[in-house]
Amino acid sequence: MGMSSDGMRDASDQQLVFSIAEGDAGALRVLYERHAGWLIARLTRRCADQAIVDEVVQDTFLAVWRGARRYRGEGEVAAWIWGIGIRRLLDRFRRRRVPEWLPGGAGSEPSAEELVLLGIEHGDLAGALDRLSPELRSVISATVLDGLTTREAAALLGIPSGTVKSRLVRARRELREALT
Amino acid sequence: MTWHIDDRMLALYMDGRMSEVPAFSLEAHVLACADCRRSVTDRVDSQRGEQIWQGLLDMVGQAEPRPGERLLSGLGVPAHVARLLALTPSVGLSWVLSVMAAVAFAVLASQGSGGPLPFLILAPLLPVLGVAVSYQRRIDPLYEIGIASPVGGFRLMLMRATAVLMVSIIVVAVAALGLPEIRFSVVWLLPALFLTVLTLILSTVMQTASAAGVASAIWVGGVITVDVIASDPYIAFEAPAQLVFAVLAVLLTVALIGRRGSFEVI
Amino acid sequence: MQDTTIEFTSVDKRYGQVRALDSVDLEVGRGITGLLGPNGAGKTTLIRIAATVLAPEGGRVSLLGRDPTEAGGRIEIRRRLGYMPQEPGFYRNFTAFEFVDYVAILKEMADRQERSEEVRRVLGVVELTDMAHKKIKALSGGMRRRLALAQALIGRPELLLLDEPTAGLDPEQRLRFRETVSQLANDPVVLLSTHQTEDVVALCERVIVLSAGAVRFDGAPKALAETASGRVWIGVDQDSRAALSWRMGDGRFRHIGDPPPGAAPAEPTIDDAYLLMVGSTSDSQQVSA
Repeated sequence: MGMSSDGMRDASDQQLVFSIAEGDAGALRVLYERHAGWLIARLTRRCADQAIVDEVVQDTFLAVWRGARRYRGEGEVAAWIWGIGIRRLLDRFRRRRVPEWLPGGAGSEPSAEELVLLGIEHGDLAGALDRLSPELRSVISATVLDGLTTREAAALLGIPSGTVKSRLVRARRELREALT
Repeated sequence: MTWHIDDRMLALYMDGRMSEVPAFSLEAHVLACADCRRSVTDRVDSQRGEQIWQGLLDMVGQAEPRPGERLLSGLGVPAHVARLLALTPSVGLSWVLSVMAAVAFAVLASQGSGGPLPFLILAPLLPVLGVAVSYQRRIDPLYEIGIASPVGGFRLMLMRATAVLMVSIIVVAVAALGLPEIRFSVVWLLPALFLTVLTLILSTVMQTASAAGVASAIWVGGVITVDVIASDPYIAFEAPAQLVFAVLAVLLTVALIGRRGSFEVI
Repeated sequence: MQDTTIEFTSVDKRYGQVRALDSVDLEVGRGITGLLGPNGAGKTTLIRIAATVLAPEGGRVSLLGRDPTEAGGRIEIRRRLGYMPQEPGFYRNFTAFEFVDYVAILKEMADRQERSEEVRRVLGVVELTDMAHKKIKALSGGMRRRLALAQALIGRPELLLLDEPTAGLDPEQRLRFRETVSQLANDPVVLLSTHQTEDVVALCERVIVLSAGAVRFDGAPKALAETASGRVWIGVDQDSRAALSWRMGDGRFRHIGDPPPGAAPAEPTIDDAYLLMVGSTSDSQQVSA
């Protein structure tokens, strides 16, 4: 039976997805309220075109609605949603090269202040990442952060898969050296 | 979770002024922290979110087409009729599969010394069984609601019977390719038509399942009797017999239309 | 809009030896009319005839101004009516949406867009919007009943026939159901059958009491109660002379019929009148007010 709307507000993301798989549209609404916001923000940092981002967000949640059964409860729901969303965005870019993909962010050099803000938890890694060359950083961004496969990252960055793999190896080596 | 994004970082990020590496950190964190997700959501234009939702709701609100619905539309059936037929539960995939299995068996049996007789006896019975399965008045839970609608009992029954006939014809025609002679793949058609209409007309005076049983018994009994009496085992399928079936089918169809009132009330 | 939407004149219906309806005359017009009667009284038969799914035998029937025994009239009536049968069947593997969509197609809504909107509208009226895409087998009994009502509302019928819509529902579900019915937009003519007097009290401007296939009363609920005027008593002991008596919550006894010795008169309720009317089958006179 469906949860009451009050019960749904307290439900975990996992429980919501299971309800959605049974056709509960109220659960979809709650999940949307929790996740649409950050998805919009994160996609916007990769694509400046608002209309495209809006469509991708809509497509993503439609895919959630239709494919909720495929979520097996592994990992965070947010990560699952991101996986769907980023691939929808990628599809758009493959179809038309314009507008530009903004891998990871618009800015270039992090200010000292930003590094300090993050210093408590991520300082060392942040610094190490920052010292990587842009080409190495972009493969890390695409595979580790955005969760793309080697092939998807290769398609996105316009380089062969082999190059993606070798750059990942180098990036990891450099990070390990920087952190020890 | 000891660490959360503070307002300054959030502002940088939302303005697009945050550089790559800190943004990595923030985004990875957001995937794992519901509180920070809420902070981000608070800074996104809620109207934009609502508009996206409204568009989403329209698409969620449509029901997904059923399997078979697109196939039927592709065959030229009007969209709403295709949906009605595709929604009919009994004439579904499992029925089609059982029909295919039965026909395959009959074709195999016909490879032996008996010739295609098993096939020719079975093939016309398939639409009969299909009708029995697809329109069981007493058992159909939506029977009353169906009759009370403008489409009513007769039109609904015709649509289903036609669909069953069409599917049966396609399945059997494909299976008949496994038979030795081409002519055997068509001589079952008129008997099938005759038996289907017979079943429908009988269903006005008895339960559909019984009607199907009676029609099947008449057919099997008739063919076997003819087989025993006559020298030519295929006499029931030769030209004179085909003419008889055609005439009977037409007469019974006229009678069926005359009896349509019986489908319109309980 | 007709003044009388449903008109029965001397309608009979037999099942073998049993007379389900015995020369029934009635006229139903605007508003919500309750058809009250015990099980076996012929309520379902009457509703089915009004829904055109059963053919009357003797007599004449007119629905929305047309004759349901004539094919053209029957189709026209069916375009303008909504019917919720007593045991609405469902294909359990359907979703709520698909079920109502199916009925909408049966009501000749060929255009997909228009149909989707109408399906969503009626699901909204019965508050099943969030459950629209759940399978029916996952819905509770109360929800299925609301779903059955939803399909009857497709196409905004002028005539709405509900056969025992509240049967088997718990009090809270019944209340919700009654609220939904009382709030229906564009005022269809509603005829609903029930064996619960509370439904009548809560919903109906008019009540027809049916017992053993015959109409015993036809009028306002208040007038029905008044037919038991002077026949209801409260006493200390049970008395065999009363037509009916039972023990109340406070230990005293309520009697219907002739006054037992020492009993005080009581205000008649619809329940009293109903029991008096259908309890004694020998009293077969039609009472109208």
